[in-house]
Amino acid sequence: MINFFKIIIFILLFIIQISFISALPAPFFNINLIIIGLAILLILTNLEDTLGWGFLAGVLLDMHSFYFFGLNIISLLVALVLANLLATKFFTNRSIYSYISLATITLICFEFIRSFLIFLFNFFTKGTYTYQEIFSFNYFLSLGYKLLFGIIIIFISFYSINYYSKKMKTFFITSKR
Amino acid sequence: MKFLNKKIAIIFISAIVIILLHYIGVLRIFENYILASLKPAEKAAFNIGNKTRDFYEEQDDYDNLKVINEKLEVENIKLLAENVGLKILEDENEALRKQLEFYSRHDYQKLVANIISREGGYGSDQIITIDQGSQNGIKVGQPVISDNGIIVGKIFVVENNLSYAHLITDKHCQIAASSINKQGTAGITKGELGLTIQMNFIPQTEEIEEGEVIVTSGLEQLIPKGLVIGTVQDVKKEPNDLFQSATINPALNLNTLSIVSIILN
Repeated sequence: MINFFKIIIFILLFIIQISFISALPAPFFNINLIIIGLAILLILTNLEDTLGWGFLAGVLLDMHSFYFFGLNIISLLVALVLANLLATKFFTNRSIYSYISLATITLICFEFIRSFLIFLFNFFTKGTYTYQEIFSFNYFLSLGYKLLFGIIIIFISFYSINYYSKKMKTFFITSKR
Repeated sequence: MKFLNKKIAIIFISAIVIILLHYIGVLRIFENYILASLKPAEKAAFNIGNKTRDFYEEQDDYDNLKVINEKLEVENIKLLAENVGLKILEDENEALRKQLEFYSRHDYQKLVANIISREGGYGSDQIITIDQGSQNGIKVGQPVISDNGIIVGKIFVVENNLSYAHLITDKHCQIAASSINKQGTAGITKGELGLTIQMNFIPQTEEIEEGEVIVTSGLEQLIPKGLVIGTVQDVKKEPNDLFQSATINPALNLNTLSIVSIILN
């Protein structure tokens, strides 16, 4: 299931996110390839596989983060489970709108869970970040940019994947009557 | 619950185990190995990102070229007049240069490091990730230096192989500073909006003027005296306030940093 090629792609994606995108000028440093990648993976495969990759991404992100270890692992896993729950309950068709909604929900869930955990951590450790600072105007602006770039990436991915594969194509259930 | 099958449960249990093992310290060898393996690629990717940023900013500059040109023409006329005044200041400048040379003669133990990532979280990118950590002697509070003794940030989290520094333009970065003038006007600098630096707590009785060079005061245990922070851009002095404040222009463009050094002692 997890082969060498997939791992190389995953590590490349991670390095692009952590080093290349973070060095880009504003607002481009807000692009979150990992979470969008995981949302696409959730669409193309299943929750189990996506959680596996999400877990790996979380471990690598936590190793590169100055926040407490486990923050990204927990945020990613919970966000993916929530997104999957919504995907199976509400987004039953295979339109671009469903995919955009799913990616948006994954991203929002991840960001809010992550920020809430940072807030809790700061609250209990009396850290430097205050509630107002974490959920500030800049935070929502940054979230807006993340969503915008996420939607653009999903849009491009949707049509690219549709061009090469049938995994995202809509189909009709035919009756034998 | 339907979604919680065996495989998902294993992933969640693994996550908890990994987090526990990290805090126990069992994973340190693996983490160090992974971080060391990724460092070269991360450094290369960061440099490409930095070059892209430079290119983008240059393009942005071209757009403003006409405005800049008009400003420069006005500035040129002003500079001609100032040039005469500068001749008089030359002697004073010489004395200051000697002071600066004195600072540069100090034999600091330095550690050269690469920036491998930038992280800001809340709409900014004012935290840099440095590829050296506690095993190389880095401690919280040490200054991050670029070029000829220009302080660009301060370490605030240190891990085994990595460390994180607030840039001087980050509002969480506070540095004890003083001006290079006769009085040695002292204050505390604090980053503002990721763009400039605010120097606060300057006593009303002290003189501080535009263009003065602000350096570290040496009052902090790990930050030596004389590291350049920037120049005074604007002074705010209210007669009823206890203190006055000044806006400092950073001495360097902090967006294009890629190699820095840390003063260890």
